[in-house]
Amino acid sequence: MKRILIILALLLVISLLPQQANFPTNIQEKFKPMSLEHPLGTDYLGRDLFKLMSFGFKRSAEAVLIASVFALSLGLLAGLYAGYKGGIALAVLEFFANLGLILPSFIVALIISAYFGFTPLTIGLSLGLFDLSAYAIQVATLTRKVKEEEFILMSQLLGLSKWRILKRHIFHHIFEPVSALFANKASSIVLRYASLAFLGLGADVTKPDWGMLLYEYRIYFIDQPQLLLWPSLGIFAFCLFFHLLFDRKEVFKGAL
Amino acid sequence: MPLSPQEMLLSAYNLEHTAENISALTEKWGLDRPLYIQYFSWMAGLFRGDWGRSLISNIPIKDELIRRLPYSLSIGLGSLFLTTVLAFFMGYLAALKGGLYELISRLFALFSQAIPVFISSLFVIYILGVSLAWVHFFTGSPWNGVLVSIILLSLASCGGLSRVVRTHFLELKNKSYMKRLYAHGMKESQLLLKHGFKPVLYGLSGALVPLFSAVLGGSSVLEFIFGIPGISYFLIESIKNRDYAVIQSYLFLVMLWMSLVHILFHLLQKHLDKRLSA
Repeated sequence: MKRILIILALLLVISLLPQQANFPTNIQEKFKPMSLEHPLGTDYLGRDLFKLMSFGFKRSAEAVLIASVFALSLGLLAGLYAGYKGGIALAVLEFFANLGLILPSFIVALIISAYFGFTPLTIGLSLGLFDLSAYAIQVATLTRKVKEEEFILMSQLLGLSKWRILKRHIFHHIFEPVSALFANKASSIVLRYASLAFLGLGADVTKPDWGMLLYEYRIYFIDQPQLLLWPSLGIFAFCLFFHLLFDRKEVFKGAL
Repeated sequence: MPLSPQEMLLSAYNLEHTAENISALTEKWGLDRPLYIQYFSWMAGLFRGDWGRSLISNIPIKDELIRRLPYSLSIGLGSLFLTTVLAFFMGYLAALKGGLYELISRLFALFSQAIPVFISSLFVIYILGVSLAWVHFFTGSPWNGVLVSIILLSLASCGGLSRVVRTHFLELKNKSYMKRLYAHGMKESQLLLKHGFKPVLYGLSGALVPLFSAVLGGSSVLEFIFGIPGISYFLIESIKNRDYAVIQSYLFLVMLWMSLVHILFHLLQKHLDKRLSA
């Protein structure tokens, strides 16, 4: 419940951030430090870094959302079904999931971005397609383990429908490990999305991404390090967010 | 933005995009034939050792890929080897000693998932190449970049794997044969390393296969940053130029490589766990 509230808060923050798609340039105002007018200062073209950053934030969040919804929903369904059924369904799932795991997803996403353009939708779908196999394999394995337990046998004997057993009993048992995998995958999507934007194939220069900003600013690494600091911090904080939210057990085990 | 390879070639030579020019190129490359015939003629060429020529620069693709392969292969194999060694010992120490080592392993796992490799490489270029001026990344030999890429890639992926190793070692500690050897007075550190080596390596090898494809992606970013003339850098340039012939050959090579890796790891797992081959 708390997690859902935090995610809703995140969506609220994203919707409140300034979202205009035009970034007026003003060469006289370049490399301004932080001020009330420009909360994060301005870049080498005099564009407001805060506006660029919030636009990139929304695009990263969109990519994560699209990839996760796509991969998680299909992966959960396929994994639960195949894990519960076993036999041929499981063998087919394992074959395709293994294929997805060994294909270099980053290279495929690179090619897709060059052909269909670099948008959160294309990248989200192509990265999600490969994460799908990781989710499906994990869910199928966990489902098979839980299915062996006695309480599942009891529910079957009591005559509960297959759908109800899957939804009420098995899903609740496998939720924690799957959400840990989600944290891992969501932050890796943020990273891969940034890396793809950094390479910039098929990218639209009028739609800034954090990775693209880092590519543009890399030559100011020595003179104006604050330009690189903010997008890097953005990526770092966004990844950390998923870990703290969904993978608390791993991060804080022993520390608390 | 031109999308077809014909238009890209005409732009490269500053020629006009007339219908005649485009159709002449289409005919020359045989792109007007049905797709399945194009595919079979490409496959037939591949098996005869003729991988075709780049559409833009007209270089034979096979020679170019072979010339670039040593760089990419060293990044891939070197970083995997270093990752495995680092992850194994980080996980081993974390499981054995806990405390500080546990913290190090956990921090590595967290940071590698939160810092993209291109940011850390910018730092390295700045510190080693600019402020200390020890290494010349872009003017010197490309092997400087290869070496730094290997280190960066393995630091980025050893954290997560060390957690896998640690979990395997902790599970192993509770096995009854381990307890028996411990009761006989063997040191725990030697015990785990000597008798736990194989089962843990077996678990680690399962987690390594997906890493091979991750390393391919990671090395493409690093080759791009350090300007290493490897095959992934070639791919990025070719995608920019819509050079389909090169992209096809690259994908073929990658599939070949991944299948090889899969088979090798299968054999390794059989070797580590004799019960599998029985």
